[in-house]
Amino acid sequence: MKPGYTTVAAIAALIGTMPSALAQEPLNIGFPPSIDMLPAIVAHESGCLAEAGYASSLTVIPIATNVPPALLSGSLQIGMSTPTILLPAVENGVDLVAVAGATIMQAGNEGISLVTRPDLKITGPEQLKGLKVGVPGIMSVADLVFRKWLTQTGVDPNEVTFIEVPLPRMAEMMKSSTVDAVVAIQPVLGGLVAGGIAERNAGEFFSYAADGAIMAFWSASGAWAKDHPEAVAAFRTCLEESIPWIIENRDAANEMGAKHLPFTTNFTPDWRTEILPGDFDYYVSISREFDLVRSDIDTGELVFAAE
Amino acid sequence: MNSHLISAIVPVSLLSGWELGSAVGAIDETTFSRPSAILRAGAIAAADGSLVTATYQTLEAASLGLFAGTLIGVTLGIFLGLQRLVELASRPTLEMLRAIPAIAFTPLALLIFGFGLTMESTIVAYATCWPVMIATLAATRRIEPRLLEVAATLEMTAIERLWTIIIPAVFGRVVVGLRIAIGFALVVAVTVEILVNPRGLGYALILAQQTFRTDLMYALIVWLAVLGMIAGALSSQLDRLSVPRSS
Repeated sequence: MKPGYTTVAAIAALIGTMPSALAQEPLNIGFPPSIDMLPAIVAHESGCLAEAGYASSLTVIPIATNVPPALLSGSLQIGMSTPTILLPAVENGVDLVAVAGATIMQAGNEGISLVTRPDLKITGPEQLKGLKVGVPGIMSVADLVFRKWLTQTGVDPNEVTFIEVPLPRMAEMMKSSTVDAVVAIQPVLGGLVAGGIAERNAGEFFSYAADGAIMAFWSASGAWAKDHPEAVAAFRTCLEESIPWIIENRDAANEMGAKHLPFTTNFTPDWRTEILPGDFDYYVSISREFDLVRSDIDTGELVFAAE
Repeated sequence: MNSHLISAIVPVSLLSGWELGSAVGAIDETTFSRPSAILRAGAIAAADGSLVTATYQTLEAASLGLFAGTLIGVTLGIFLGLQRLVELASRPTLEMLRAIPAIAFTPLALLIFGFGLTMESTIVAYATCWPVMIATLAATRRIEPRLLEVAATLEMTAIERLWTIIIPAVFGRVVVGLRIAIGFALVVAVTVEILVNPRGLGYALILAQQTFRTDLMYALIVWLAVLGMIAGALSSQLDRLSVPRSS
């Protein structure tokens, strides 16, 4: 065989043995380390997305506000978001849309709650006046809904001092009395109470102020979603299939989760894949109330709908 | 007494006290993991390959950025050193650009380049080019004018002039600038990883913090200190290149 033919044959053989993943469309999914994201992890680990024709990959993004620029630059195709990330971005002209829901708040299953120092014996919002409250992010969903709860229960949020405290730092800030209370999220929430560092007696602010409200969802750039409606549909379908499977096979799901979330918890958020423009009405209202956004954002434009 | 033994007294005492304090519960381990736990976390990370991968990613970005920054700094320094009018005209702009912390460009770089090596090494290059440029510029201005006149008389090409006169003349000062830049490279690379880039030691550090692995956090910090010391030792070796040999 002449050398030229040998080269062609070698290249053909190489192409023939290449993994089928190269023929699949890339779908890079980014999210902060949170149990809310377990359905997406299962969608990837179970092979659902691969079967749908997508070479999915997962990237843990510690700081959630890095997700929008990653979506716009193409590093990610789908990323976790919250209303307080999406609304200011859209107001400033950033092309982002919600493509699927992640979690909602349900009374009785609050994964976000206010916990207070045991020595302060706080049993209601009026006792928070003059105290320092740590929140995981200033102007985050937890922060805004907490402020709304204060106003609804007759407490002026300006009478409370808000301090941004990352979740991993909440225990030591409470123990050292640097803060008097924190708005914590599972599994930190459970850890603080179980460790005797905090009490959970002040009332469930989130379900009081926003029962049924969306807390986290999946987003993409509008341009990408418009060009890849099948990818969005496949992602939604895989999420929908993952949720009942997780509930039936929680141990196996936790094992999959452990590959990407370096903690395990048996707390089960209320997952919901469906997302509607109306889900954002509440957040537009409180975002305007607390000056996160300045205008009345058209929520009809926030959710991607395939044409 | 052996000087090494003397210098080991303080750190050994501190570490022993820390370990003992943790063991008896006097030191809160959720905030200050005990030294043995830190060592164990580091050993596990080394054994499972995650520490090696993260180290490679950080050093890759730092090295690439340093190389690019040096190239840009030397080129710009020589050009501006030889073109007096251009240097005067561009001085205010360059001074302004030089004053901007490289990390301030991180959100912009993320938007333009996305996650990955390009974004991180670009920011490192921006941070490291300035000390090299300043050193090269100063050295180029000090080149004996008669040497350049001789080069013109001999009708040397630009490349010949660069190779035989300019580069040998500025080399020593470039090395000094490079020593400063090496210090920036690792710090900037790790900071970018902590802030935005999901790769490298900085990313591992922030993930360890977010997932309450204080032992691993400390192990990574200690490892970064070791890498910093190695980088410092390597950069001090550069002094040999900058000192002219006596015959």
